[in-house]
Amino acid sequence: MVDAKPFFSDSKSSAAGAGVPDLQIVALSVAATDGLPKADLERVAKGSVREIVDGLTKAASTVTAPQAPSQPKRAEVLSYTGKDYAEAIANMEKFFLTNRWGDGLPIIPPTEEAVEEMLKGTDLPRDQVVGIVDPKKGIGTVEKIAINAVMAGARPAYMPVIMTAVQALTDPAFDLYGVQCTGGLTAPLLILSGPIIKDLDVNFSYSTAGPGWWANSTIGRAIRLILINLGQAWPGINDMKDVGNPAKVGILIAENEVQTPSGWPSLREQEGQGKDVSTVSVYASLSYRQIGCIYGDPIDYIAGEMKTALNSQADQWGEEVVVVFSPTNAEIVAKNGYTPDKIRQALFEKGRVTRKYFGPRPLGTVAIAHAIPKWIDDLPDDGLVPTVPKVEDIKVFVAGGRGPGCGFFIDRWGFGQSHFLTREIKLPPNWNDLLKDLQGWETPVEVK
Amino acid sequence: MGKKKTIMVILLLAAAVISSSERPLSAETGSKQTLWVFNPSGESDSFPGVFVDDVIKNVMVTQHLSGPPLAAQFPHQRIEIIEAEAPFEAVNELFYKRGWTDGLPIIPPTLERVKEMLRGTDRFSTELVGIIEPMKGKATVEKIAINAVMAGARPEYLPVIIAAVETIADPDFDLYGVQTTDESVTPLLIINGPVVKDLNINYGFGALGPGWQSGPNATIGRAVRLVINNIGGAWPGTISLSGIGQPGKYTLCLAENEGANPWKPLHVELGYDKESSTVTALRTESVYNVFGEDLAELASVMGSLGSRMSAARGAGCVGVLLGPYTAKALAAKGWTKEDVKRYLWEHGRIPLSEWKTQSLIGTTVPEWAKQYADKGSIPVVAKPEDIVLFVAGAGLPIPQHVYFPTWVQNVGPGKVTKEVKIPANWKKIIEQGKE
Repeated sequence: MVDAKPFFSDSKSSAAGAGVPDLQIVALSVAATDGLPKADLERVAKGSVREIVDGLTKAASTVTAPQAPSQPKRAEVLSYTGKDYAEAIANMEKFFLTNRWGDGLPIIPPTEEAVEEMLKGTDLPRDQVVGIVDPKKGIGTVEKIAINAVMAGARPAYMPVIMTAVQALTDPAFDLYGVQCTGGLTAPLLILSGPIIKDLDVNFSYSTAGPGWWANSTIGRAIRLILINLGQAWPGINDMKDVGNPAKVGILIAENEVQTPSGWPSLREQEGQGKDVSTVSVYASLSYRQIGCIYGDPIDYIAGEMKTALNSQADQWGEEVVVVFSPTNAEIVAKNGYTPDKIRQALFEKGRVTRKYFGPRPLGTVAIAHAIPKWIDDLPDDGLVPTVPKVEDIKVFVAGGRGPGCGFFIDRWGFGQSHFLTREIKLPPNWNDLLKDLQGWETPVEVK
Repeated sequence: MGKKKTIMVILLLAAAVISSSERPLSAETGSKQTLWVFNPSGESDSFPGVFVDDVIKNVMVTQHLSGPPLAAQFPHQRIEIIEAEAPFEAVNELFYKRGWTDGLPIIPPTLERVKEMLRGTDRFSTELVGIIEPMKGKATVEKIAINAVMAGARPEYLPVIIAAVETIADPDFDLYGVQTTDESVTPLLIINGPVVKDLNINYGFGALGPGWQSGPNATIGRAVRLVINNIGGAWPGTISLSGIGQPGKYTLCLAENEGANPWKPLHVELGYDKESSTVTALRTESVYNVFGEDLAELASVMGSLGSRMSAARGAGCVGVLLGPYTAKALAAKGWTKEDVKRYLWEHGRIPLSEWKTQSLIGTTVPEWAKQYADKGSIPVVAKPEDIVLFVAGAGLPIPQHVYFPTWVQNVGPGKVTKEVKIPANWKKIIEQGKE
């Protein structure tokens, strides 16, 4: 394997994850192989030709195919003791920390009782594999998901959402491998739509993307813990995000359907799902740009932000982007006759940048530009390129509380590989019983 | 291969049984455990003997606002005894229902834990560090320590957390505005000085989150958030009506990568001694990913409507995190930090055409910016010095930067730096922390 020097630990880790721990890796003295003109890449590779030949001929790698998860192992049980409960907990924290389990914040101890309780949230057998979590291909069984959900502080009734999100995240179309390991500052974002929001008391109003609600915080964090503990993506070893992203704490935004203008379809309906089902969508988010539009047309404002975002990272061109309207801004544009479809169309037309931001031509000579289609390359320098390939790649919905300075334009990561995916949440037969567990926990959401 | 599999197995298991020394704690034992926990809520500076929760509850009732299910329902005393079969979980549930958490699990602030936390400072636990807006709760050293325990922080982080609380309690930070606006503002905490190495505060991979590596970053930032929430009484959805919130509101704290900074580190630039440690808080509205070989892309992101607040008022400070790779390249070309700031200030301007359609204050050009508007654009801050420039990142050879636009109402520059008061027995505290 040949890679750039700074990514040596990443390559090592990936090789181990793929079942080839002693793969010969030649580190080229370049910053990155991506983004390097092919001619330069060839020149550097020629300089390392001896190492490459050595790697191919000497010390043949012991290649062992990753073993198929025939019978996923039951989680072992560990025991921690102390003079009292608090000390036992402290000892457990210490042990977890040295094993890199967790995200640096306090966890709820995943005791046998707590995990059993969590498993009440699903009717699937505990050994069933929900998804294989990249990059280290951790086997995401129902039980492992439940363990991490306990650690995150989640309730059993959140299990269907968490499991559906894992399913979506581990879909090849999401490119979890890329999301976990890239140097880009991406963080998976979850978006919830449907009646389950009310069922679980998920906050869809003020501060939906911030702290304060049990459901939002712990569902988001359960996913983060699954990505760390099962996917084993660790900053600096194989998670190469140069400075990280605060959204990686685990963010769940819920759709504010109560204050969605009449006549606007919900997010799940726009995504081709039924009105009565609930869905979770996953998205490789980058920056949460606030739509602080007080005067003027929010559409122009968002189009402006789209252009700036694209200017700064044209090479990410290729997938969906997300626009979250505050109820106030949605009202304003709805009065002007806009529906989500019309918004998409308008943003597709207005949020364009010129060809020159995509870099020197022809793009084919730059390794990173694999996702950029030829028609963009062929445009003259001042030719206009829309933010997304297709109109329907602009996702539009309402969330958050009232206020003109709210809402987000969330730009994407992905190089054309990581897609916005929506999955229906299947509810277990004991759903109504599960919800009883949440009684007394409700923190009502203000709708004014 | 055999070796690797063992690792996988160990790393993938994560179930645990917590037991006391006598017998494992499980459902069938039925034995109740007792925890003595401190009250994390702020006592009101305006009304002696009253907690901020009482004030909020009053507002909730009179104005028909919603809020936590058990708002203000707790024994009004310093310490409370909680008995339960699983007291850890019981405290978590109770504190959440009272509005005392961010929704994530907390460590119960037991007598032992808080006492242990206070080991991190030589200040009196009754000392008043600041008054926290908007409900004007009193942040004593003890109250800060309680919230620090809950956040999962370690005793040796306490001096930094106290300094951070001093920054946000400073009127120049305008915490009142921050916590009551509909926009989503949060303090960005930048740590400088020897304390970064002492505490292993992350400035590289994952510094802005998440990770086992970022324990100090995650928990220092979260401790400050819990102080704001519990002592300041800024409950989201009840008092803090930030429309959509932002991910950085859980925690947003990192160190400067001083070793990779070819210029003066931030605290030295601000007039502090290199050997002193500081916390700088910036009012931050968002975290913008910027990727670009030269400064042009950074300037283009700055010159967008994301910067509308500071541009409209001609006040406030914005933050620019420059990746080590670009900082080094610029310095090699002879650029000073001041040159970089001036370049960004001159090139990162909001075009007048865009401003006129989208202005925060109508279509007029703000008074302060009229002198620049003649040339077709509006600077995002009043002067180059209002760009807070620092270097962070692991030093991958990629041009990765971050832009932090700000929020400005009327008061204060929104940039406050405080020195971390290092306790006399610091070395010993650090040594104990390493164990």
